[in-house]
Amino acid sequence: MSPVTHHRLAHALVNSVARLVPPPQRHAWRQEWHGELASLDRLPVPMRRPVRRALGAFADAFWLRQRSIADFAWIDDVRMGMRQLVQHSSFAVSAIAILSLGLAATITMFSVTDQVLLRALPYRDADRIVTVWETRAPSDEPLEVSPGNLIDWRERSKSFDFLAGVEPWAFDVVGDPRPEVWFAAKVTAGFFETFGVTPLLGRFFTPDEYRKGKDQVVVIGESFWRKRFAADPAIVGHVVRTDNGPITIVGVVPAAFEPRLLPTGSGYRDVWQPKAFESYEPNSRGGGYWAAVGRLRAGVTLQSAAAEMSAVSQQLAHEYPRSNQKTGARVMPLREFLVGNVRLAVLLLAGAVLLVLIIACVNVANLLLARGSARDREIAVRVALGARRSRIIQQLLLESALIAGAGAIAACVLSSAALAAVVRLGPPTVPWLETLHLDARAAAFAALMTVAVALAAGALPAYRVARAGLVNAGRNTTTSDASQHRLRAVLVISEVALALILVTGAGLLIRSFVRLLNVDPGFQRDRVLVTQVFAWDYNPTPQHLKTFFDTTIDRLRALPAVQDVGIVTAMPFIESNINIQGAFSIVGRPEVPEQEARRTHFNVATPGYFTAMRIPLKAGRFLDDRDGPDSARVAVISESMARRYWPADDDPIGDRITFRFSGSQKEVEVVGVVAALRHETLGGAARDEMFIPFAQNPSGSMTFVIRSAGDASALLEPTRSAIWAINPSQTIYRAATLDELVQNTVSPRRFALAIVVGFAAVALLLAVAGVYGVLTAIMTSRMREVGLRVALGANRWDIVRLVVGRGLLLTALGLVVGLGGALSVGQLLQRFLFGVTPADPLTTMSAAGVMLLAALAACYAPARRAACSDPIAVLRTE
Amino acid sequence: VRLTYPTALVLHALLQGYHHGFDIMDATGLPSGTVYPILRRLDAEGCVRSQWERDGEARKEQRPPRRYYELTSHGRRIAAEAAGRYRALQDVDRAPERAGKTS
Repeated sequence: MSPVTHHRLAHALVNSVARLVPPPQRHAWRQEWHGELASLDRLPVPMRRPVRRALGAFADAFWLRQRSIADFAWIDDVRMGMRQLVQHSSFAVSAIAILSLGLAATITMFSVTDQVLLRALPYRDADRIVTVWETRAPSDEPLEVSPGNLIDWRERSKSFDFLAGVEPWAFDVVGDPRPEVWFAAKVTAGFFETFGVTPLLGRFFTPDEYRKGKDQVVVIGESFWRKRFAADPAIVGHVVRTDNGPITIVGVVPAAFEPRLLPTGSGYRDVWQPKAFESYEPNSRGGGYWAAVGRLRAGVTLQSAAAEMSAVSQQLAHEYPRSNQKTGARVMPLREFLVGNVRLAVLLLAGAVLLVLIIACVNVANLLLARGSARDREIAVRVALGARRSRIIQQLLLESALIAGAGAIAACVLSSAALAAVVRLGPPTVPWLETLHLDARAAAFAALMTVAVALAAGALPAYRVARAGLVNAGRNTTTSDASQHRLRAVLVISEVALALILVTGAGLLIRSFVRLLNVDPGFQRDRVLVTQVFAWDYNPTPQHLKTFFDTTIDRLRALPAVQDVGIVTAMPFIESNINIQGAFSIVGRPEVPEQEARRTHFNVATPGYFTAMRIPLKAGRFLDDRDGPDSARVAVISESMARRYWPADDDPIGDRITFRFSGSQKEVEVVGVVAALRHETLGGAARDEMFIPFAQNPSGSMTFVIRSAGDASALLEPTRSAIWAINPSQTIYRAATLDELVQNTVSPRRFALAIVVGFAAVALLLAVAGVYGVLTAIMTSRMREVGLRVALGANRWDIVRLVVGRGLLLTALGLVVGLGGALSVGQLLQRFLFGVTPADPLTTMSAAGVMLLAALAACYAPARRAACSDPIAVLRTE
Repeated sequence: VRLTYPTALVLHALLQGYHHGFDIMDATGLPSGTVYPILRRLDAEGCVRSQWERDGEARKEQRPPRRYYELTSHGRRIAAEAAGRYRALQDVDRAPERAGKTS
């Protein structure tokens, strides 16, 4: 052959090989090889060897082809996966919906956990900040600190850089046109230093300002500054007129500084005033009203601080045995104080969420399995054509990842809606709840969960299908059907078992909640308006007080729709400033040692209080108009007090009681016994209480109790006007309906209940969907058998029994498996239960009953389909 | 970069100033079926970059333009590393100088 022929051959070779090259590169590739071949002309003929050289084009083209396949295989997979999902959109939609529910719940709980429990406190070295509380042996429940003890703690302890106290406080700002209450807090030196905050504007307090007379200064919070003063930059130095004289604003503290040390019942306190101790306070150790907060000195551990504080407490117990004999101190990290009591609830909810997510994964795995069996043929064909097993598994996992990804996107949307709902409806006692939102960390968590879910839901079906695909390629798939049904049955049984745990937990909480709402608090809470006033300032003498309240009551009583009006000092379910407990003696009974003294709460009320509250009379009579200032001194006691101190056969009516009240010794005759009232929570015990007539013991800190014929909140404005008509400067502290006040105390419980019931409902739904899916699959593959049976004379009822029996068997097995968990879930919930035992068989049985009923409903459609099928048609299609 | 002996040879040839597929083939003695996939791989890994010879050059010799390969800075580092690993590469230097050193 001539060199020219060689050349032509080489070029032809390149041209034909070019077909192997992926189209995008083909043209350039051909040019390159032709260019090289053409360049050979420069060489002497024996060195050209064009054909031999052109043979390398094969290797080159193959290499490029291989590589492009490797590069684009996954895109093919994605495209194919998408196509699969679109083609089977009902499968895709249900799988995505199920996963998005599970993931949304998980992301929401993650956000709550992350942003409430694990949130970084906005203070310098926040883990060195501790709160210190009094304890009363034998309990170690933290109690507020008495001023005497706080002062001694500060002087004697060495564990702290700073140890400061904070006390709730309020003052009236004389305003225009109406007076206004500023809820404030008094703080001792070192308070701001403990938290390590710096003022946004102005300054904090000078040492001098913690002295009496110099303390007419305040620091306000940023949000109060923005809201009340429209962020006035010249606020520092601004003077407000108050009932205690002028007060100067000296600084603004950043909004992030929210120590939340005081009860939030009256809303957040955003005004800080320096505390100048009253002369009696260093000796006051009886009752606490301070919260103490300290910064641990460098190198001091929590344990050593606690040890020192308990040593100091022992010294104090030794020096003041009367008041401090049982008093201890408890050092608690600030974070523990802030979130300690919500931690258990959040962790339990996180557990519930995990169950829901597992059930969702199982459900999707189940759906994928069902899809897999429909695809056995396709996979068998692919295997027969030489598809590698790894490639098929990869394809299947990719499909589950696509579902999980779509589910995650839907879940993020759902979850940010859920978080908004939590912000709106969540209990106000949980710190920082109002700032919840879907953040980057939650999104990262969602991504992580998506991968985990894709693997969890996709692994089993992928493995099974890939294996079955190899084993059964081209063969009859009856055996794989049977093994698959077994596998799916196991999944459904586990779903039912997990769901039973959640449904039981929800059942226990529902029963507790119903029990709680049905507690008789001793009064009727509907249609009552509660309004609190402090009338001392304008009514210095008992006579003034009596006149002010008597005229106000008359005026209120004259309002339309008002049925009864009364006043009381210690009103249930509202933070009352006058809440006096003390010892009393019963005349004619032997004295008891001081530690075992008879104690009760003292309360001052008008006769109208009992009628307005609809408190039932148990014996004797109520206080009434006979009990004037000059008549015999009388009292009415609560039933629980009567029970505790008067044995069954001993009637308290007519007995005389002596006690100290308002600085003087009193002696009263018991004239009646009324139902005992619950004061703080519906779940708590009813109070031992003694009511004495307002007419005989006028006081300035009173709460109006106004019963309306209709909507109580409609009385709010008329009530304010009536009070201001008597004294336009009188401040009105808190006003709310009694129903609101009671509902507030159960709102955290109601909220947690709503969440758990929601989770349980989702779990129930998913489990039932699982039962339905499996039954449908079994029935589809046994249509032939059913057809035969019908053809051989089985009646439809037998067929229905077959299907329903199968469904109930699966459910029952699940219930048996879940029983152990269901009975022990109560132990975990114990702290949230009320009036229900943790292992409550009735609740567990009801939960199981609900699930069986739901399963029965799930059996309906498959049973109907099987029973109504035409045997001839079924047999023909095979 | 996977540094097989043939890869090292190709890198070395590039370092020595051979820029076209067939020239590298002749310089290294490797068959074209080996040289080309290596060039493709080095290209994908950023060790070489390629461009077309300028039109005028090719027209002067009345032939289609050739593809021109040269080492990137990364490729030069890898080539130096390869030279250290395979002493025998020096043989390539002694291989007879062939035509095709284009600029």
